[in-house]
Amino acid sequence: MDNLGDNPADNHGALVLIVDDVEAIVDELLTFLLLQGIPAIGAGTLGEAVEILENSADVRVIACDVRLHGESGLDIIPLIRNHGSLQGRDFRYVFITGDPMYVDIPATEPGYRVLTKPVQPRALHSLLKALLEDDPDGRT
Amino acid sequence: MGQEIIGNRDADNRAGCEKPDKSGDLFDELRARSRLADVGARTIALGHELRQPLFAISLANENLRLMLESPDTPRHLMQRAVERTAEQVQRAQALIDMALKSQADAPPVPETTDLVLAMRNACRFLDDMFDRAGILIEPLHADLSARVRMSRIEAEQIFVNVLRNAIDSIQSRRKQGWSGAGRIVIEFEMDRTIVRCLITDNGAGLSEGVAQTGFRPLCTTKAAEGTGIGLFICEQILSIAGGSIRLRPGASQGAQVEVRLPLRPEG
Repeated sequence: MDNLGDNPADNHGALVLIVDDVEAIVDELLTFLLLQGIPAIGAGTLGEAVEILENSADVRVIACDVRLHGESGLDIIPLIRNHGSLQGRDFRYVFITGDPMYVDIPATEPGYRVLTKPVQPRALHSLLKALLEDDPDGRT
Repeated sequence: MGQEIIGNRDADNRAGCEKPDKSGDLFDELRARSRLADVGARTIALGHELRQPLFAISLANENLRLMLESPDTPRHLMQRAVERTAEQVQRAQALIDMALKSQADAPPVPETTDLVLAMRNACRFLDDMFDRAGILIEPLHADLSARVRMSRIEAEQIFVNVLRNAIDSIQSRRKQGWSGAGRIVIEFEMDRTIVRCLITDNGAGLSEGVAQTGFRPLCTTKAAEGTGIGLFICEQILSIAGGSIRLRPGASQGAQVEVRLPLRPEG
């Protein structure tokens, strides 16, 4: 608990990247994951997310809001796929949305899950844990 | 469900098994459909907006539960979770109040707030975003006071939505290869009865078509993302307060948003 400071985003060795344009949600998610012993880091935009991924070699799971301000969270997939140093890394994606009807991910896209806000924190924790342990049940 | 909401006419028809009068009924039907579409759009907007504070509350509550299980949790961290919950409940309540007010036949006694102060608060909320995006924000006449009929949260919501659009527009122009300095200017003009606020950016700008359709619910220039709620909400808030909002291309570059509101007489 001593390492639970005022800025959880300062974590090193983060395994999970949280992307959401609502600062309150990012803050609480980072605190929640830290309390669960899962190091995580947060971003408010896709640009910030890519920058963090470039400098965080340990991140394996990306939990991303779908409706970011002015951009679609789903674009994180092509951004990574077309990024020189990130395209070779194996990420698992969790898309979090308030509008499930608008989520349109190609059926062929592997390694993602979609959760609807307000997500039950324990369900999110179970899913992230499974994905980090590379549990096939944690994937679609 | 739609027929139930249409109400009396359908109930009458069911009871009497009569064919409706076609000319009058068509008009009523169109009116009812228009109202249903409006209610539907508002419901979608409200549903989307409410999920954000609900999610934050859910997380803060779970965090507090976890902290209470650990005897050495610093007290200020628990306090922060409690404050977060209260803040998000207030945000949700404001959204609900706004939706109810827009549907009510008789408008309730409105709150008043200082529009210039709301602008300053919104700029403070977004300070980090301006810094990260390298955008200079220039609020002119920030020492004025302009009391209008709306709540502080509603007024701040308008500025946050408009300023975030301006930030996005500048970022979008940069993605197209522009490397100039991002700038947003906020100006106020007042006479005895009206306050006028102009928010001008030097972003990617917009076409006349987008300027006309930008306030429709779920209207977006990027169909896959389903954005367009923000400006719709701004228009709804301003409409209730007797004001208006206009979006137009900037004089030489970027875009300009004009917000007009009647001033609330002192006393």
